Amino acid sequence: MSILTRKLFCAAALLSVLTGFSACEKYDDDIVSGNPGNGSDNYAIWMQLGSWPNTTQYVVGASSLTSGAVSLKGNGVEVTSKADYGIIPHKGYYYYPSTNSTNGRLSKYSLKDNQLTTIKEVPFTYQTGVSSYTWVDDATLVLMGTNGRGNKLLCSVVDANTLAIKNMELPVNPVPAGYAGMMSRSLDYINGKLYVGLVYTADWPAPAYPKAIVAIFDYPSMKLVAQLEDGRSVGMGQANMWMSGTVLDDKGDYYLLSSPGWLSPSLPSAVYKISAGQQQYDASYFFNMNQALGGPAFSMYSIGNGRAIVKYKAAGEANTDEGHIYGYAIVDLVRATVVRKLTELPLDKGESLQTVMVEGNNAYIMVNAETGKDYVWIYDIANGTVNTGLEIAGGYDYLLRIDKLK
Amino acid sequence: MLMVISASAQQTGSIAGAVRSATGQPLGDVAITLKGTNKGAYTKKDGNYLVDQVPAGSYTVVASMLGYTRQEQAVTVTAGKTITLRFTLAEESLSREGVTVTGKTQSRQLKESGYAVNAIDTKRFANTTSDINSVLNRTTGVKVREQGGMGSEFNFSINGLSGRAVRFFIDGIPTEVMGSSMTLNNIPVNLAERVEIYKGVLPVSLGADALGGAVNLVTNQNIKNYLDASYSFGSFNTHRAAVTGQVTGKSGIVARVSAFLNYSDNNYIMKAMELWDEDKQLYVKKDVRRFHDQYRSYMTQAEVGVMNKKWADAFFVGAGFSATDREIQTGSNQDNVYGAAMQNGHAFNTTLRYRKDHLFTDGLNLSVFAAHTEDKYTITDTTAYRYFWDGSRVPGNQAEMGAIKQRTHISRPRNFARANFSYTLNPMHGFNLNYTFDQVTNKNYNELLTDKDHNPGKIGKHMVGLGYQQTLLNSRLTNTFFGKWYGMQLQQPEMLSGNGSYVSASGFKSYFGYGMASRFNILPVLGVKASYEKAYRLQEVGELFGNGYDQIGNTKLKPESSNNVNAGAFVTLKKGQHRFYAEGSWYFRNAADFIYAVVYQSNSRVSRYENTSKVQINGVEGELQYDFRDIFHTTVNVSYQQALNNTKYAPGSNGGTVEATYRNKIPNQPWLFGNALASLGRNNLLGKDTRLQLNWDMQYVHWFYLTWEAYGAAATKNRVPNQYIQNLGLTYSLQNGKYNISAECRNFTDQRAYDNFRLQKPGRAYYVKMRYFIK
Repeated sequence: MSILTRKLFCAAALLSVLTGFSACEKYDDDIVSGNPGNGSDNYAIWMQLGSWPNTTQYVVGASSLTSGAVSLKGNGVEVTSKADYGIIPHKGYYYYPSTNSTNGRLSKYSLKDNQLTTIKEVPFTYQTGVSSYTWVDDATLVLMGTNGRGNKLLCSVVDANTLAIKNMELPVNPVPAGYAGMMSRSLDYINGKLYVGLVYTADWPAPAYPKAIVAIFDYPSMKLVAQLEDGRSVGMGQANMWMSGTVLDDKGDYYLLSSPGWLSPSLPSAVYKISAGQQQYDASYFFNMNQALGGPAFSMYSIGNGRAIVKYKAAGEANTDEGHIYGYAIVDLVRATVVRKLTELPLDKGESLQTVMVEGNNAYIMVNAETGKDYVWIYDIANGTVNTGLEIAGGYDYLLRIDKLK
Repeated sequence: MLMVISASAQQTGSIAGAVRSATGQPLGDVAITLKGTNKGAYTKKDGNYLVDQVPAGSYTVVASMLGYTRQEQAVTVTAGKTITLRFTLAEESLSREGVTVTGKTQSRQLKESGYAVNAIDTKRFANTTSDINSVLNRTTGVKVREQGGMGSEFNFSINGLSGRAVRFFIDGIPTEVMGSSMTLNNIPVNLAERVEIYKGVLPVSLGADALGGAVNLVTNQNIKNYLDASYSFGSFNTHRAAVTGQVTGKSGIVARVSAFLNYSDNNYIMKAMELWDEDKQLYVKKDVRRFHDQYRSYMTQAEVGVMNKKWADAFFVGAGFSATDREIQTGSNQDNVYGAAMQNGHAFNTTLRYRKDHLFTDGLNLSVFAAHTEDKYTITDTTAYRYFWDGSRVPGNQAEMGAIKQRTHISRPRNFARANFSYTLNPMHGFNLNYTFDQVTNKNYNELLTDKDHNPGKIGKHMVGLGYQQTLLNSRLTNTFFGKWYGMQLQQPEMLSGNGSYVSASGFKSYFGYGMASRFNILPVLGVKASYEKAYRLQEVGELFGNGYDQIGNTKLKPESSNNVNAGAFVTLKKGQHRFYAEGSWYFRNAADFIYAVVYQSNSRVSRYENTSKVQINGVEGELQYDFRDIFHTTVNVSYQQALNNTKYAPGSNGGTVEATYRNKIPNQPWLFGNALASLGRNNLLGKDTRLQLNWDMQYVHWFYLTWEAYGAAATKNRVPNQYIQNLGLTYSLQNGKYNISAECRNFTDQRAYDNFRLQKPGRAYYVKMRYFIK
C-alpha cells in the first residue's frame, strides 16, 4: 500500500507542477493598443447602454451623418477606464482630463477604425472636476473647474501638442456668507479675455445665491477684470464638457444661457447678452426662455446669423430626468424671439448631453426617441427644414454626444 | 456487491457486527477497514456491517468516521466462520485533521436534505491558513470576489446573486450581531466546525430577508472540553492566530472562548503598474509594492453558562469585542491609488442564549437568543495629496476618496432577538416556528462638517417563519413547506422629498414569502431534490427615506424580490474502500426590482434609490468526490450560470423601444468556474501516530467581459482574464493530530490574479502554520 501511496504522491506532485506550468500563460490586461492614428473618422457618436450599475459608454465613428445607420453590435469603442463623454474634441483629436475617473491624467486620443488610440498622456492631478474648456488658439487649451470643497476656481493652460500644463488658481469674489461653495459652468475665450459662468451654491435643497454671474479675466495675466451679477436668473452658462450654453455671434456679441434647474425653484432660464467689446451685461436684453418656450432651456448651440438651437423642457412634470421630455427650438437671439419649435422631432431624453453639432448649412440633432427609430436629424439652416439622417440602432439608454472630428 | 468472489470459501471467513455511538444510536456509514489489506465495508443505516471473503489470519479492524474517535480491535479470522465485532464510537468535538471524510457526516446528511445546500466540514482545512471565504470559494455556485489581500473588501455571490442578497450567520445568528469586523474574510477556518451555504431557499430557522441565499457558520456545540490553538505567519508580514476552546468546571459551569487575530502588511507586488517617468516623459510599466494596505483585525467572544440542567439544556451569557484597522490602498480600480485613507472600527456585544428541549411536552424544543451590539467605525480621508504607485505624492485639490475631506463616523447600535420553537409530533411530522427581531439605528456624520447625525434612520424588522416538515415512505421522502412574514417599522426624523421640502418619515411595511423543499430517495444511493422560495431583500431605511441631505426619499420603493427554484440529484456509491459521491443541480432565479441609487434630476450631487433592474439566472453545477480510505481524496466541481438582463425598458419607461441590453448576459460576472482539490495522506509514515498529508487545489475562473458582451468592437472590450490559481500545502501531524505543522504555497505559479477588473490580488505567497489541538 505504501508503494501505491508514494506513486500517488509523485503523480499528484507531477500533476500540480504540470498544470502549474501550462497554466502560466501570459496575458496582457492592457486595453486597446495600436499605432498612433494619423487621422480619424469624420464624426463620432457617444452612447451609453444599460441601467445602473451596468452602464457602459461607447464611442463609434461615422463617415457621414446624412445617411446610413450605425450600431454598437460588435462595433464601436468601449471607453470604460479610458474616457467618458465629458471630453474635448478638437481638430481630429480628443483631449480627456480624467474628470470622472480619477486617473490623474490628461490624455490625447485619436479615434479611427474602432480604436481610441493614446497619442500622449501626462500626469494631471491639479484638477479633478474640470467643468469647461476653451481654445485660446489651436495649440492652447484652457481647462476650468473648482476644487473639491468648491471654494477655489482652478485653471490649467495646456499646450495641445506637448501637453505641458500650467496650473493656477483664479481670483474671484469670495463665496457670499451663507453659501457653501462655487461651481464653474461655461468658459469662452473672446478677444484676450476669458468669460467664466459662475454659481455660488448652497447645500441642496436650499437655493443657490440668486444671481446670474460671469467672471471676466484678462488672458494671459489672469487678472479679474470684472464679475457681473444679475438677479433675474441663476446658473449662468453650461459646463461645456457636456453641452453648450453660449453663443458668440458673427458680430462679436456674446450670448449666455442661464439654466437654474435645481439651483432655484422660482427663477426662469434666460439668455443674457454681453455686447462686443463690453464687460457688462446689456441691461436692455433679457430673453426669458420659460416664457418664450413654455419650459426652461438647458443648452444652446449657435447656427450663425445670431440664431441658435435651444434644447428645452417640452413636456411633463416628470420627477427625474429619465423621461423623454426635451424638445428643440430655433431662436433668434438678436431679436430675442422663438423662430419655431422643431415639432418634427420626437421628444429627447437626457438633459446634460452634447446632442447638437453644426457643420456648414446643417445642424445635426441627435434624438433619443421613446418609440420608433433614433436618428441624427438634419436641420437645414438656410431652408429651415428638418430631415432624418444617420439612423442609430435603438434601445440605447443615452445618446451622449455627437462630435465633428475632422 | 462489495466484494468480488476471488477465493474459495474454505479459506476465508467473515467479520460482522454493529457500530453504535456512545449514546447507543446505530451509526451508519462508518468505514470498517482491515489494516494492511484492501478489505473493508461501510455500516448500513442500522449500524450493521459485514466484511466477507476475508482470508484466514490475524487482523486489526479499524472503525472510523468523521466526527468520532477512531477505534481499532484485533481479531483472528477462521476459515468458514463469521467473527462478531462490535464498536462503540465516542463523538469527537473537533476531529484531527487528516481523517478524510469517509462516513456520512452531518454535512452529507444536510446535502441530502431537500434544500440546495453546500455543507462543508472545515476540519479538512483546519491545518491550512485559509479563512472561511477562501474555503467557500472552492464550492459549487459560490464566487467570492476579493479586491486585494487579507481583509480587503469582497463580494460574495451565491448562484449569481450577491451583495445584500446574501446574508451571513453564525449558529443561526446574523454575523452583524457580532459587529462589522466579523466578516468571512476574517474568520479563521478553525473557528467553525461546519459551514452551510443555502442557495436561494432558506429554512425558517435562518430568519432573514435573503434574496439569493445565506451562509451559516456552525461552531462546535459539543459538551466535551477542547482547545484548538493555531498561529501562522508568512509572506507580506502576514500573521494569523486563532484560539477556540471550552472548559467545564467542577461545579458544572461551562466556559467557551473564541478569539482570532489577523495582521498583514499586504505589501505584495503589483505587476506592471504604469508610472510616470519624468526623464522619458512617458508612462512606463514597473512592478511595485503596495505601500498602504496594512490590515489588522481581532475578535474575542466568550460565554459562560451551564448545560444539561433541569431548567435548561443550555444557558449561556456572553460578551464579545472585535476591532478592525485597515489602510485603504486603492479605489474601485488600481488606477486610483490612495496613500493615507483609513478605516477603523470596533464593536462590542453582549449575548444571552437559552435552550430547553422537551419543554412542556415531549418533542417541543425551544431556543432563544438575544443580543445587543454597539458597532462603530470611522472612515478617515483628510489628506489632500494624490498618491502614485511608487509611493510619491503631489498636493491635490480634493480629498483622496471623495471631493471633500472626511472623518466620517458610522455607528450602528443593534438589538437582536430570536426565538425558535421546533416540535416533533412524531417521526413523520415536525414543525418549526421562528421569530426574529432585528432593530438597528444607523448614524453617520462627517466630523469635519458636523458633530452628530441629525437624521438617524431606525429600522425594526420582524420576521416570522413557520415550517412544516413531513417524512414519508419510510424516510424516502421528505417535504418541507414554509411561509415567512416580514414586517418592518421604519423611522427617520426627516426625509427630503423630490421638491426639496422636508417631511418626517415613518412607516410600516410588510411582505409575505413562502416556499418548499423536497427530497426523494429513488434508490438508497440515489436521491433527487427540489426547492422553491419567493424571496425578498427588504428596503433599508436609507433607501426608502434617503439621508436627508444628498439622497431624497422614495417611499414607493419596492423590496428586491426573486422567485428561486432549485432541482438536483445526488448519488453515493461505495465499493470496498472506495467511495464516490456525485451531485448535480439546476437552478433558476427570476429577480426583480434591484435597488440602486440613481442621480436625481441631473443634479449630480443628489440621488434617489430606485428599482432599476431585473435579472434572470439559469445555472447548472455539479460536484464529484472520491475517497480512498483515509489516503486519498479528490473533489472536482464546476458551476455555470447564464445571468440575463431582464430589464425590458429604460428606468422610468414602461413601454417604447426595448432596451438594447434586454436579454443580454449580465456583464462583469464570472459565469463559468470550477475547482479541483486533491489530498494525499499517510499515517505513521514518519513515526507512530503521525500523519503526513499533501494538499493541492486549483481554482479556475473563465474570463469574462467587464461590460455588455454584444456591444463594442471586440478588440476594445475590457475583460477579466482567465484565472487558474493553484495552492499547495504539506502538513505533518504528531500524536494523532495534537501537534500539527503545515507549509503552504499559495498561487504557486505566481499568476497575475484578478477577481475584479484592474484590481490585482497577491501573487505567490508562502505560509507556515502551527496548530495545537486537544480534546
